[in-house]
Amino acid sequence: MDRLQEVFDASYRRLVGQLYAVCGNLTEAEDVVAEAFVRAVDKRRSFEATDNPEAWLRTVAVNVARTRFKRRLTGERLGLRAARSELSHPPLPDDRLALVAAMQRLPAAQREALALHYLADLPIHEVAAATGVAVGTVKARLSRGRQALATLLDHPEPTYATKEERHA
Amino acid sequence: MPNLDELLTGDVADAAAEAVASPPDLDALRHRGDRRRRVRRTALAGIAAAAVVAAIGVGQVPGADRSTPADQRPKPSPSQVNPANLTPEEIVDNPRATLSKVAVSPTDSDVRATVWQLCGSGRCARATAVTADGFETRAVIKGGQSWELTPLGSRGFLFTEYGMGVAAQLLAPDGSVSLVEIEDEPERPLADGEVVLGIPGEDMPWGAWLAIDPVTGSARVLSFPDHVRAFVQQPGGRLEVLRQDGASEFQWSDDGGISWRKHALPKNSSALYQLVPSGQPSTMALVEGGDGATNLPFGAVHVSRDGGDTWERISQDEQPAAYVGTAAVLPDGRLLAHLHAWSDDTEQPADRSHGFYVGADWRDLEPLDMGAPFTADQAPHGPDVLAVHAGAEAVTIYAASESDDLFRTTDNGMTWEEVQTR
Repeated sequence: MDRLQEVFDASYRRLVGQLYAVCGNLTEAEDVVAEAFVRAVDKRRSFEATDNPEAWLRTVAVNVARTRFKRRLTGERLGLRAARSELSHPPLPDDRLALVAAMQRLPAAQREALALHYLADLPIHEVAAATGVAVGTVKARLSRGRQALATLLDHPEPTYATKEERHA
Repeated sequence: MPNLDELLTGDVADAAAEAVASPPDLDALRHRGDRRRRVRRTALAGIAAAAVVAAIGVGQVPGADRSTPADQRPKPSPSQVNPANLTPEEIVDNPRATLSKVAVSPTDSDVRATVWQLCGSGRCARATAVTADGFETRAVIKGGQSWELTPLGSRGFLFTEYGMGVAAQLLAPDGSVSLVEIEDEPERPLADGEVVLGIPGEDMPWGAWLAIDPVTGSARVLSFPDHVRAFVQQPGGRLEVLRQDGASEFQWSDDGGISWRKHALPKNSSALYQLVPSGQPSTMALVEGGDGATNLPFGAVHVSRDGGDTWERISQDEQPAAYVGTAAVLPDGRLLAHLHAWSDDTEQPADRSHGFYVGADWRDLEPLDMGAPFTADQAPHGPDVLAVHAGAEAVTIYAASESDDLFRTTDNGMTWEEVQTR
């Protein structure tokens, strides 16, 4: 079995899960992860050279999701009809669905950091790698994202700790 | 409602992962990636006029992330077929095999090579068919996916393989593959008829250059500028290269490489350039594009109509942006461009056509009427261009249809004739 097939079998579902909260839409998460695999074929030398193919795919998928989000936003500002993947969600309690919906109202950078760190269980340094920014930047985004999210959900915000610090 | 710490847990991602009904077909994703790879390699590596392999994945927009349209979806591969167990002949003749590459000799269009790919059971296998009589007869050999096939007259097709050092191989029409003999000759300029072949380098696209005699089949090392990113050997013998060593620079030689003239390109670190084959000897051109992920946004075109004495940069930055695949200078001096996608294709249905455009002033490009089988109704995403040869009489373009049949046009897409491929 070739490497791409192995990675696909092992990582496809997990990546979709990780990208779901970034996209706010399960169908779109599947689209962007599929696109990441297409780019792995297109950029096979880069993909085959990486030590961590899942992280490579995650970085690509996050970038794809970001590009799609920006395009949609620009289209909406121009009053254009925005084509979007059919909205779908996994079976989640209402409070989780409300959380995912609220996250879509955050700036993309904050949403990505929150989704990948808290919801996808990625450590800070992997979020930094996936989003292409420094660890300190990720922490700042998490902090500001939590504040904004708490406001959106009308929650009090008792702590600004990262997940790693909470678990420590 | 629980507080944020209770909400922000991995339950959400786990539930989403479990909710995936069925993963997509990996073979279909491979097919999309392979098509895009053909586009990128053509757009960024330049076009060798002697045997231009210019492949454009139709309808693929950078970062567009849309699903492949239904009419472009690859033929399903039966899970029970394992291509690894098939002979090269069986791969080429399999109706589910997809046409991956085409190379045609510019001096004899019956000398052709086609690379076929067949996927199934999680594996893909490739085979190459080669002919000297338009596939009245043929030979088939295993492999071919990584070969850039450069025609060597009627002798067959040259190719190199990464990691072989300064060496080249010749695929003859009878299917034999032989190592090209490299003569230890004193350095001299390129002679009439000699074919230039780039040898892959470690850090750059090319680390060495060979000049190969189409009559004897022997090669010699050729002195070339360093840091070359793309090159073209124009039909009249002019050598053109794009150098990138910090700044980007276009260089050309009209004396077989003895002397090189230069045209400095704008200092723009994100710009990507594509050399343009020219059917008019006095006109040189290159396309300036931006970072468009896998495709090349059509930013501008640089043109000299007086053999390089003066240059003009003509912007193409109107919105929506076009994505350009192949471009060529027609024998009458007009620019022909294959615009295969538009920047707003993904967000709203675009009513602009995807296909060939031409511009007498090189500024305002107008769409050309495409004939069957690539009319707007038949091929809304335009032709899948596989090879272009700019000649003094016409630009010859080879393109595949959705069913992987190959067609050729010499009138800029108005009429097409079918060409046998296997």
